[in-house]
This record gives sequence, C-alpha cells and structure tokens, in this order.
Amino acid sequence: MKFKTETNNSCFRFGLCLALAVGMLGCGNETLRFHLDMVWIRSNEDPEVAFQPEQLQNLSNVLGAVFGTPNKPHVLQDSDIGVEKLVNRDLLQLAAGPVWNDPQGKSHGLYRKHCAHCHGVSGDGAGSTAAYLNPYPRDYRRGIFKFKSTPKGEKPTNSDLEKTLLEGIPGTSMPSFVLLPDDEIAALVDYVKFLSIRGEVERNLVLELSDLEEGELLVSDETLEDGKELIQDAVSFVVNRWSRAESKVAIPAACPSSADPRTATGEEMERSITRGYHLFHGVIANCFTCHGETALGDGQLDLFDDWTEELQPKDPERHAELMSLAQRPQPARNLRPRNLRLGIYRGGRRPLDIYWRLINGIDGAKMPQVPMVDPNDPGKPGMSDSDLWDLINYVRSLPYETLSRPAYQSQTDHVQLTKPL
Amino acid sequence: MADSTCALRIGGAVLFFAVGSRKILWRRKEVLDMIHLQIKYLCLLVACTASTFSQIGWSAEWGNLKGRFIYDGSPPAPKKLVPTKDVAFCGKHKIPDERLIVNPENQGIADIVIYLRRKPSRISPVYDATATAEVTLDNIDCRFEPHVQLVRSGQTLVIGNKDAVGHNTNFTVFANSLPNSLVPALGSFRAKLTETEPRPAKVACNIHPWMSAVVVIKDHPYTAKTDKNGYFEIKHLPVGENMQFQFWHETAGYVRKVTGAKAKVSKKGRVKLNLDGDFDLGEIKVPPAIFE
Repeated sequence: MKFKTETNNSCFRFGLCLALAVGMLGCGNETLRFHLDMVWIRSNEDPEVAFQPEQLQNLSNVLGAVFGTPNKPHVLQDSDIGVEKLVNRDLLQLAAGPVWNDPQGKSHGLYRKHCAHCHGVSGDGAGSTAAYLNPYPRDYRRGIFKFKSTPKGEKPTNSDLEKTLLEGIPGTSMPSFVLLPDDEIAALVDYVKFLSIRGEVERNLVLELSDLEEGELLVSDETLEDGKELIQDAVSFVVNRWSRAESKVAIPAACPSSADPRTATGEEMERSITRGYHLFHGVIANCFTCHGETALGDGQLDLFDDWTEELQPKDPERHAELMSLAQRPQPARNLRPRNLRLGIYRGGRRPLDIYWRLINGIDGAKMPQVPMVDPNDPGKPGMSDSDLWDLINYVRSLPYETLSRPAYQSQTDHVQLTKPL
Repeated sequence: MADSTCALRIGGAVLFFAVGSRKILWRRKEVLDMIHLQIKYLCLLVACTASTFSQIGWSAEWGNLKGRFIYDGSPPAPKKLVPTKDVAFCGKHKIPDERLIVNPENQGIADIVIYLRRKPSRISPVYDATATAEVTLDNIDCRFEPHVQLVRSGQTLVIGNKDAVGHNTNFTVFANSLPNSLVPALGSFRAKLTETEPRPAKVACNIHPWMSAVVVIKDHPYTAKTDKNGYFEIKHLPVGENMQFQFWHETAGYVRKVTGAKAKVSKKGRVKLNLDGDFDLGEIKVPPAIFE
C-alpha cells in the first residue's frame, strides 16, 4: 500500500493544523461529526494494548481536516490527489447537511432526506430503520459495492451507482429514485462516493495507526510533515481506485446469433438453454454448489458476506462486543445465494446485468467469477464466450422452468462431466 | 635612442613572458598528465581490490537470518477437519487442521511467517532470477497446498485445482486487485501481483468453508515461514542496514510475548536488526495463550 505523491498544499496544511488545534482545545464535540469505524478500530487493536483516546481523537481530527463534517463536507483541493475530479463540491453541498428548501423550491440535504434513515449519516448502514429491513442496508465505508460492471476489488462506475439509484434493488428495501431530477441523482451519487472514500481512507489510516508504537499519534505537531504525506498517500490510494473504475468495465463478448434472444429461433434458443442447464450443473461453472440442485438458492447457507464476516469472531463475547460497537441490528444474518426461480434479479434483469454478475462475480458476497478459457492455455478447462451466453439464457429461463423437471442425477454426475476434458 | 631601448626592453620582456608562460603551460600539462596517469592507476588498483574483496568477502555484503519457534507448553493434538460439502470426494481424504501445527516430537511450530516490514535499500541479485517467476497455490484433496505461500510483487500466482470437484479462491487483500474466481476441476487461473500487502492475506474457498490458506505478498523477497520443526532462514539480507522483522501466525496474528530470542522482540512481535553478517535468533518460545 505505498504510493508516491509529492504535493505541497498550504490549504491542506492549514486545515490539518487547525483541526489538530481544535481537537486539542476540545471543542470538536459540539459539531455533528462522522462516526469512527469502531469495529475496524477494535479489530485492529492490539489485544492487550488498546488505542489511547488521544490517538483516536487525533484520527478523528485528521479525518475531519480532510473530509469535513456531515454538515460541511470538505473536498480536498489537490490536483495531484484528484478528489475534486471524482466529487463535485457544489453537488456535495446540495446532498449534505440538514433538509431544507430554498425560496426557489430547490431541495437541500438530499442525503438525509432520502438515504440517511437507512444508511446512516456516516454511511455505516446503521440508520434508525436498518433493524427492520432484510437485507440490512449497505455500509459504504468498506468501499465495496455489489452490483457493478467492474470486477472484484474495483470500484463501481458513476453509471453503476446511478442505475442502483434509478432502478432500486429489486428484492430488497432499496427503492427506485427515478422521480428525482437528474442533478439530485448526480448529487447523491457523488455523496455516496464521498462517504465511501472517507470510510476507506479511515480504514487505511487505522491500519497505519495499528502499525505505530503504543500511544504514538498518527499526526502530531512534531510529525506534521510525515503525517501529511501519510494522509495524502492514503487518500490518493483510494482515489486512484475510483478514478480507474471506468477503464475496468467488463466489455461483453459478442453473443452468437443462435443464442441471442432477438435473433435465435425457438429451437436454437431451446438448445442454448439445454447447454446452459448442463453448464449450471457442471464442475466448471459450478453454480449448483451454492444455488442448489434445483436453483432455489439452498446449496450453501452457512456463509456471511464481507460486511457481516467482520463481525463474526469465533469468541461469542467478542462477537457481542463488535455487534454493539457497530450499532448493527441483530441478528447477524447469513448470506443467501439467490433463488433463481423467482425472476427477481437484484443487480438488474437484462442479459448484460447477468453477464456482469457472472464474469465479475459479486464483490462483498461470495459469488465468484466464472472461469473463462485461458487463451494462453486453451487445453485447460474453462468456459467459452458462447458457453457464457448459454448459461445466461438458462438462468433467465429458470423462473419459467417447470419444477417437475427431475433433479440433476447425483453428485457423481457432476464429477463425470469432467471426463471429456 | 632612449625610445628604441625602451621599445626593445618592452619587446624583450614580452618575448620572455610569452616563452616563460608557454614553458609553464607545458609543465602544467605534464603535471596534469602525471596526475591523470596516477588517477588511472589508482582507479585500477581500487577496482582490483574491490573485485578481490567482493569475491573473497562476499558474505560481508549479505547476511542470513535464522531462528526457530517452539511451543512453550505441551503441544496440542493434531486435529482433523470434517468436510461438509462434496463429501463424496472430499470425505475420501484426511484433511488436517492446519491453523496451528505443532510438532509433537520437538514442539516446533510450523507456518509462522517472518517478514521484513519495509523494502530495504538493496536486494541481493541472487533473487533477480525469481523476481517475475510463477508461484503456485494448488487445491489438492480439498485443502490448499502450500498452506502458507510467500510471494514477491511482480511474481504471478498460479492457482491450480488438482481435484475432481470445483473450488473457488477468494483473497482478502488491501492493495492488490484479485478476483474471486472459480477454479474448475483440473483447471487453473493466473493472478499477477503488483502491490505489496500491509498484512499477510487470508485465502478462502467459500464452496468448502473449512479450507484456508495464507499468502504473504511483499515488494521484496525477504520473507520466510517456519518448517515442520519450527526452523526458518532468510538468506542474503543486506548488511549494515536498519531492518525490522515481523513475526506473524495465521491464528495468533502478531506473534507476541515471546521469550528466549537473542534480540529484543517488541510487544507487537517485531525485532529490529542491523546485520554485520549471519545472525541466529536462537530458540524463540511462544506462549500457548496467543493461539487461543
């Protein structure tokens, strides 16, 4: 996690000094602040030596200097880091702060008006209604988003986030905001990105903090210059990921006309679906393992997603402690592989959406990406582009497949499919 | 008359000055040539000496660090893991619990990771040959082989599957961008590692939740793991450099509260060293409590 940035920004330094000074005076408590990620902090603490309150206050001050507060979010102006290219300061201000309408009727405080009651003011997914929802609302601070066009470890594009806002997430409590004007959608997209960047920078700084010796501050008056570089590195690391998202979008391979719903004859489509059926139950795509022999989503029920896994240490006392720190609604729920017979697709129902789920996997959930044939090693098992479209056709046909169809024979059948390799 | 004498004198003086200065110039050139010659010889001498030294005193430039980790208590009995998925295949194999392996005969702890925390200013050329090598992490008999793999950024990890069932390989990494990919039966995929990771990365197969492995990804080759008797060695470390090593274990995290090391180990399981040759940390005793 080392990145080189050489910058000199007097504004930044001034802000940092000011925040450290304010922290020392102790008047930082009166203003509304973003919560610290206490679960992550606790998880990275030395079991015997907890972080000192001064260390955490210092971390909070540093984050305040870089990102401001929920009422006054701050966009770091530093062309070498480039936060200002990712989030628009004016749009951010429109989304931030308390809810009010100006005399022209323009809405302000959009995030708190539309999102905060579920996702929380800090974007921690622990808003006041969170406990009543299943699945629980998303915590943005890990920087992980499930439904996107880019692979695991990469960020969603602006259009991925827009799509989630405009269409909602079917099968969950996330509604569609299609009635909002374009600039409000854009403002919310930028604000979610902002909260996510802030949260991920915080996580990276906590890792740095846990590397320091006992009681040492992340940035003190003595280490101001070193600390500045540390923070710039941490911010630009996260910002670089967001900046490159567009270049990481998976471009779908051409669909053969015999598997394309627009051009294939009924017979061709039936053959494509049958091929997909065998792929679904085969050991290359391996879908049946988690989605179940009958695709009802009952194949693997004991997993947790990345957000919940963090709260699941084996020790029950520790688990209870982390749950209370997270202010996360109880109980922690298992990850459910999707029931593919419902015809409800959280990330979208278009063939393209399902293509992205298969080729990228689902980040944060355990859904892996399908193994494609390695062009450098075509002898090794893997899926071809047309296999992928066959599988998509089968998945899309599942809600209409009769349940009276006999189940795939047995475990040994799955294994036998590897024989022709 | 006086004027002509004067002019002659001046001319003579000028002539003398010119000749004299040329002589001086010539002499200066001679001197410079001699100096050059001396410098050349000196350089040659220095080069010869240096090459002789580097051949004879090679180990003076690089040093090895070794040591051994032992369990400071009665070793826990080895455990077996019970497969809950693909039982028809995975159930045929005895799957050991590798999250803590203590040798019952000599109390050596296997798979403790020792890594240099920051990239040093010099890396031995011995490691050039493997800088972009392929390193394997295989799924065999429903477990990962090896259980702990050491990788240098720039190398490629080849994740293979020798089993008749499909696996997936899911990394928990911070800096690298690695897919969570299915690995079909008898298949494989490649992942190029470009960044150094702040912590050893845990690897899981979510289809078979009992499977776990660790991949240590650093931007230098100075990482090691203990063998089944608890021994480790990091070779060709730069001499005369301030270095800090971290001890880490999958179950314990930072290997803390150790005793018996021949150097001061910090509360976070770190040791600061500046080698002047080979160094043996000796037998390091690890308290059982940190594995609980």
